[in-house]
Amino acid sequence: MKIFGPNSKLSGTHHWWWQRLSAICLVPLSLWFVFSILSQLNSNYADVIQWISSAPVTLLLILFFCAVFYHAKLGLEVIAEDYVHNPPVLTLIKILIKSIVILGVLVSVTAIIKISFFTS
Amino acid sequence: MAQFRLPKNSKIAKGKVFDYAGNSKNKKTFKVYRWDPDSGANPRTDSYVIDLEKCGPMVLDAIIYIKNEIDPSLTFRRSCREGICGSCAMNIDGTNTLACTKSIKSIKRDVKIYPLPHMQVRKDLVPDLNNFYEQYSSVQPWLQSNTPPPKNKERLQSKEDREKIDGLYECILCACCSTSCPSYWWNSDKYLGPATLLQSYRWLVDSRDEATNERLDALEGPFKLFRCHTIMNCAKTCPKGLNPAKAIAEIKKMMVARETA
Repeated sequence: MKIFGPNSKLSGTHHWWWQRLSAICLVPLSLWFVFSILSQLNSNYADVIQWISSAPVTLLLILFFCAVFYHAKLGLEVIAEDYVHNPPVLTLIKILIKSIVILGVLVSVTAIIKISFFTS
Repeated sequence: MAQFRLPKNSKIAKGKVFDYAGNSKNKKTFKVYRWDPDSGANPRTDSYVIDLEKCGPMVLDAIIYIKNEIDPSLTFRRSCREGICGSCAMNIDGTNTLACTKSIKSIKRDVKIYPLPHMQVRKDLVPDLNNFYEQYSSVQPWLQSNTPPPKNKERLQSKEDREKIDGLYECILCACCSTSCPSYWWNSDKYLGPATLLQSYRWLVDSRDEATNERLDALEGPFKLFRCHTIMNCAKTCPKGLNPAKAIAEIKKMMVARETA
């Protein structure tokens, strides 16, 4: 499949298609996330740690944060391309978006793994 | 950044009032955008109060009446007066449409007439459509086929194949849709816009055309096709009742189908 290939990065089709795929993934993931957080409102610290540590929750949380940040990256890029008409500024903003998103993924995934595997 | 306010020299001033309706009971006010490149002055809206008994039923009839009887300096494009040439596309009562097929009766308030939005104005209601036509020619809107045509015969299509270009071939390139599209307003230099993309799809689905791959290649990238964010103004405003947004969605589907196949 060409769409996963290394040369597909500049393609508008790739960008558009993955924005839709990540959106579809986020429908169940977001619902699950919101309801799970609400159900943990009355839990204490130890309960929440235990909840996050269970394998399916760890996995779903990592998936959720990756999907959120990836979808946000694609969406923010579209907005920047729409409204920023100065090419060097656009490049700068895109680098900024990517950096913030990578930072977000790193921080959230590290936190989840740390809680899941190294906190008791 | 995108411009959200009119530049200083485009701010619209109040213009003159021409009351030619006399004591008529059937009168209507037409507020028309006026700008003369030679005067150097800001644009203005002139008001023409006219007796509807003296002119035909359509907005185009009214502005032709104004030009003939009241103000010969009023400038606009018109030709067929029956919705097939697309010349008299303008913004009437807040919507891009053809002056010749828009009835005066359908407008309850004063009739406000402006040129097509977000285009450079040549004069009064005449926008500069050069970029629009260049974009149209960029999609090579003609049949491309390596198969030689049958001898002394036209290239035939099945009834089903012919039906695929219904809702596409009727486009008259009036530019109402493209100039109603916010994506086109912000990026008309790079985004092809709904009219051109509908025309491109007209050839993409034509069973006789064999340049599908090359046509899709030419639309790749973030701007030419994918600036469409399904805002749907194009489908809402089309005076021929066509749906450019659907044509664009079909092209996007073709692009994805080709990539994932």
